[in-house]
Amino acid sequence: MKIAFPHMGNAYIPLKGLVEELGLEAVVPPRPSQVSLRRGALHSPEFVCLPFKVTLGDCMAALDQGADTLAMVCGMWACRFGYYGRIQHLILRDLGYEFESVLVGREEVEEVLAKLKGAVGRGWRRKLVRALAFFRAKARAVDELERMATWTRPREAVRGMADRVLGEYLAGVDAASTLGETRKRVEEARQAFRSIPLTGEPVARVRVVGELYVLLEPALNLDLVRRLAWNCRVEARPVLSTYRWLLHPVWLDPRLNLESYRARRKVRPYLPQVLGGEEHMTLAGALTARGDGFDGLIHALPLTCMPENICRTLLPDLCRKLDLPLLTLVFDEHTSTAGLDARLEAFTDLLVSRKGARRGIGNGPGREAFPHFLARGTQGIVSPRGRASPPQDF
Amino acid sequence: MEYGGRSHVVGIPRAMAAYKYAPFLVAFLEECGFRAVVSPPTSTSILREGSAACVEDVCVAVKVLFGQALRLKEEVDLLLVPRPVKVERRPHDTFTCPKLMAAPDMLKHGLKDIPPVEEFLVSGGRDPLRRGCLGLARRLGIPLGLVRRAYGKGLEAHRGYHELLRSGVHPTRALEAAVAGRPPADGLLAAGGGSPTVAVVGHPYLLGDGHVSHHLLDRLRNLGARVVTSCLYEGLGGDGFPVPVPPLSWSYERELAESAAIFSRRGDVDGMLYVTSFGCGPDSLVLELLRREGLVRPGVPFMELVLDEHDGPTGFHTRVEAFVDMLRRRVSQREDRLPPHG
Repeated sequence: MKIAFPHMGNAYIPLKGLVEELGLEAVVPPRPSQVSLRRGALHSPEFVCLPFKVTLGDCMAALDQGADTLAMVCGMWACRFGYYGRIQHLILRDLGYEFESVLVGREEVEEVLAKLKGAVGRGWRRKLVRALAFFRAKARAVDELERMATWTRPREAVRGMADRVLGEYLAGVDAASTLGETRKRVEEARQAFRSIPLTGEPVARVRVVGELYVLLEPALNLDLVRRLAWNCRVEARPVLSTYRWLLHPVWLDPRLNLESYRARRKVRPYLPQVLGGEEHMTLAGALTARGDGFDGLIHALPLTCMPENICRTLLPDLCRKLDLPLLTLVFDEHTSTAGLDARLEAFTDLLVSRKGARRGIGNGPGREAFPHFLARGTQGIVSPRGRASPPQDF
Repeated sequence: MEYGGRSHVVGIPRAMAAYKYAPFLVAFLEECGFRAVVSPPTSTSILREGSAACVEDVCVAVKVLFGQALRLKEEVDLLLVPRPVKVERRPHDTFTCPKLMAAPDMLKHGLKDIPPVEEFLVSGGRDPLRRGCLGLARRLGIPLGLVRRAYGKGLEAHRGYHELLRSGVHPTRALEAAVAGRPPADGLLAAGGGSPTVAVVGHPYLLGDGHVSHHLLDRLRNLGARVVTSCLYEGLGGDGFPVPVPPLSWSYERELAESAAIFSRRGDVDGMLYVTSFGCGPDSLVLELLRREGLVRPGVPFMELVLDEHDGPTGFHTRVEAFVDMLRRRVSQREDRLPPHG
């Protein structure tokens, strides 16, 4: 049984660990790119949301690589995400692919367990427990590495150091075959991150809220977090994480469920109904952003996303009351990043000048507090994939 | 808001779930002693104001809701918006579209300087409408003694409205008649026969909104076609249907999928139009299910029409005319060899 699943950020590392620990083979498609997006969009319904198109492209790539089973979560929710698996597998079968579907959802637990039993064979319960422990350990490791990298990136002296360390140790965690080894990799990574030379604090901190896939998959959000760190020296913290997404539904870390419950309670005065997406984390993230020490809020969502568009209607009013700068970014099959860069720069400029004004530097825009844009003409904006020229004037 | 009798005017924007619950709410509130008004039919200026006040990539129905609320804001003391959440009893969770479920919240936070927004929550229980009424009465300060009688009146109006829809009255006229409590001004949609028979499947807030749908139903009738709409199956529980529709958590979209499946199996339907709005979330996937799970029988011409804030109806009408022409040719030749594409 060769199992494949679509990409979402670094979720493939724990998922691959889970599948391999069960004694099955995992097929990991190449990272999402313009190619997989275009391929998926070709066969997707016209105005379905962006993650559908990308994950469909991932599934096609995985089937081309020889996967014979496709796994996807599904559910009876108000958000379209619950139907992704069902509809994508219909489309893929119509395209002529042959494969087995494993749709993991609350409704079909027994069916999934029966399939698992058939594939794993004797001792499947013991193996499943072991595999879940492994899955959790790897998910936590990936989360810790990502958090260290998010912290280091806007502070590093030489652009790209944090990502080099991150890439190296993610591969290490991916290759780790025991729980102890996974833990050891994280410790080594911590040392490596600590040894990266730093230069000063970031000019601002922003919280990134919005739809899960767009938040966590760099290929969908045009590398938003890295772009902010490198081009604007802004520390951007997504309110969601791969770890949360993987472990929340299976109750492997009850703290996450408690956090989710608290968020729902907090946003009830604004949005009393459950809409099936991550709308509670978006609004709760906005409500607590000031208290958590963020200077601004970025709301990222795919075009026509239902729950996030509702949040988008609510957020301007909320942010006005909270005195919190807000930037909304809608992502679809964009191919150019110029518009995004311009908006991020303008937003950073706004954040910095507000900070400057609050501290009483001059009367308004604190240019001297943010020399980066003044020097932009000589330095240029470095694309995250391009050559990383060291910044001179940070 | 204090219970103040007829001096208080409650406005119901003619948009989204009001096409389901406005007659009920008007009868209920009138019996409780309020003056209830439903906003006028959508016009160019209403839609323009609405889309200016709203975020861009929501469906046209939300933009209509915003425009209608702005139209009402001067003349009413309170805006009442239905919030349907769980409208049917099923073994699994059911919802309506998130935008219907969050309509009052979007209005409250999306518009400035509007009267207070109150919601009519339809969510679960043995009798969701009664529960909604009790909640509304508590928040508006209506004495409980009044609620029982008013609920009865409301239910009567609700049933009358659904009977009108199921008997095939034009949805726009049915809503007007049910709100005013008089018989509909116009006859049945399918009256007078005509050929070919065109089934129109779509949300009532699109089919019933003449401006947004570019008077599609009237247009079809003027072209000489016999029109049946998905409103015929409005509010019927899906259990008695002969067509298996895969479980869907969106109640209203399941209704549409079922009516499409039935129409394509009814011998008298020559072609089908599925009317949806640009960016409609549930429809984007339900249409895919309809096509790929064989719910729409192959051989029945099926065309999807996407509505948005178009000002000019010409392109829309050309497609509809071409579709009807094609159906007419198929009917006259009685051949199924012509391709069943729109």
